[in-house]
Amino acid sequence: MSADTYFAYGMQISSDIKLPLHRVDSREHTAGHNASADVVIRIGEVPSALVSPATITPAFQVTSREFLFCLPGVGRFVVQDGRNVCVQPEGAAPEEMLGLHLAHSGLAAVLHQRGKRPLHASAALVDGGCVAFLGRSMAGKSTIAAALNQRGYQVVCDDICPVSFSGGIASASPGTGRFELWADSARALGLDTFKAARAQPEGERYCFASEFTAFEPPIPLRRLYILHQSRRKAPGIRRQTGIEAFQCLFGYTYFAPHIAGFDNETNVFLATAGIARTVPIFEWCYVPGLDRLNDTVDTLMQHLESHFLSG
Amino acid sequence: MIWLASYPKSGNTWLRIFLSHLTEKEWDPDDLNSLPILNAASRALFDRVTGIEASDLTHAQIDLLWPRVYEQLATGPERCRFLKTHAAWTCNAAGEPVLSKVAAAVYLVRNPLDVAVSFAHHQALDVESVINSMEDPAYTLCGQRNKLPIQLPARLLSWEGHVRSWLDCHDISVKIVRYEDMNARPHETFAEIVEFCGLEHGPADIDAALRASDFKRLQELERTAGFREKLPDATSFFRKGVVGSWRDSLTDSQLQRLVGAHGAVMRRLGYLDDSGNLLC
Repeated sequence: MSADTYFAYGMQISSDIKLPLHRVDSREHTAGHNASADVVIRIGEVPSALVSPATITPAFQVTSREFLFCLPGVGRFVVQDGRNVCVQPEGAAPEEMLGLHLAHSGLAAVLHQRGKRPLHASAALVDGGCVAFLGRSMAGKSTIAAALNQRGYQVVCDDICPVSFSGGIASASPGTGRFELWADSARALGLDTFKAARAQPEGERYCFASEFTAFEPPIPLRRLYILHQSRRKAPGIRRQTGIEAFQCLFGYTYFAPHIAGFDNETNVFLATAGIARTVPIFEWCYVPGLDRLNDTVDTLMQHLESHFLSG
Repeated sequence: MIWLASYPKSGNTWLRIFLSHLTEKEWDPDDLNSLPILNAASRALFDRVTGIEASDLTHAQIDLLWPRVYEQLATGPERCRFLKTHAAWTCNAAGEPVLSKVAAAVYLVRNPLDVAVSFAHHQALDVESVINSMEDPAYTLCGQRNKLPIQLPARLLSWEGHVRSWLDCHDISVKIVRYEDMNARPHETFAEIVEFCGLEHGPADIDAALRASDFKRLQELERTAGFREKLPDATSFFRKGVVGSWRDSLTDSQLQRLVGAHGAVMRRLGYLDDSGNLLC
């Protein structure tokens, strides 16, 4: 079995399965696993259930040491101790489908197990710091980050933003060196989807490279925006503090609300409270519509300039 | 758990509002935008219950997970009492009903001639386009693959296929209710639904819930506060709510197409007699 080496979320990953991530170097394609890898993904037998899981959803189970992901017709994998991942493909599912889930859910589980908070966020580098956009699917996280990229602010990470809190400082690790957009958003931003690789076998979601590579060191997390699209609520940007800020941050952590099983709950609460206390959090409600994307980003830029940007 | 199932524009929202009045005492009845009965195809619901993102999955993979999601909603801590669906009764690649066997269903059906007119208004489309959709055996709501719709795909099939799938469903208990009967005999028809759902509400409660979900009241609420289920290009969600408005809207050729495509099921439901005369 040969393995490839990748770099993402500040980790070196050696994998038997092809991942939709930045491969370190084709010369690293070796007959075994890279001994210095932070994460090793091997093909093997995977149990269909964990013993005494703290959390069970239709897609995964969690104990304090293990995360088991099962997708009928595709396969399953188990993530252990933030380092070892064992994968059992099922049937004739394309390898890229398993790779997609390993790169998203699998690595999010690795980050949880390593004590980082994988926020459900996309982020851009603004004035030397990380500005992250949190929200559910469809909130516009990737589109806003990509629109900032068009204006010269590099995309730091997309969909998963790993945040560490240490010594009173919150910092974000870079993601995968790329971002993904659905065809309608890509076209609205003038990006050519013809040459772009598909991020998902069935849907028209495409990958684009960011100049901010996966190899950059962590950067300070400066600001968080919680995105909400609404045609009925009054648009605007509102600061959140106290328990409201904490709840938002907790709710937009990857796998929320099923994260209790991952870690000592006290650690999760302390880290989340620390981030909420030290990083300004804003709720940003805006009117949906790609035809008004420029105006939407102008609003953001005005807010950043009046509250944050130097000069 | 009970499915509130129907092809679009067949009285589902009316029934949801009625049942919300009857059973959800904490709901503010003037706030249509916080209706407590959820849409079974909600992306947010799927993502929340599974803990993963539907946007990473193919439509077929989503359909394989839906039964587990609905089982969890029916039996887990949330204990959903009702869920709305516009999906036909279909099976996934594993041969299992996508909606699972965990619930019974109230299936609302409406004369397809009125459905065509109302659905065209709802989608801000011409009637011909809607008639095409109603004949399409693969018709799917929110099945786009070039963007991320707010709802996950719901397979409707053709109108006739949709109705047949529910009329002939033997996997779960299904109560069939005609929209026309809800209109003509509201108290009796809604009382039957209440009894089927196992709710213990008497005639006075039912009448109060019917008054609160009166169509003119819903139109007024939409006018003052909007209704989030209205599509962006439509002028309103609550349009007329009457039986037989097709008579003022459909051309002869549109009428012939609809009857030609759906006549057999229309006869079965009493919308056509054996001689082909329209009864509603």
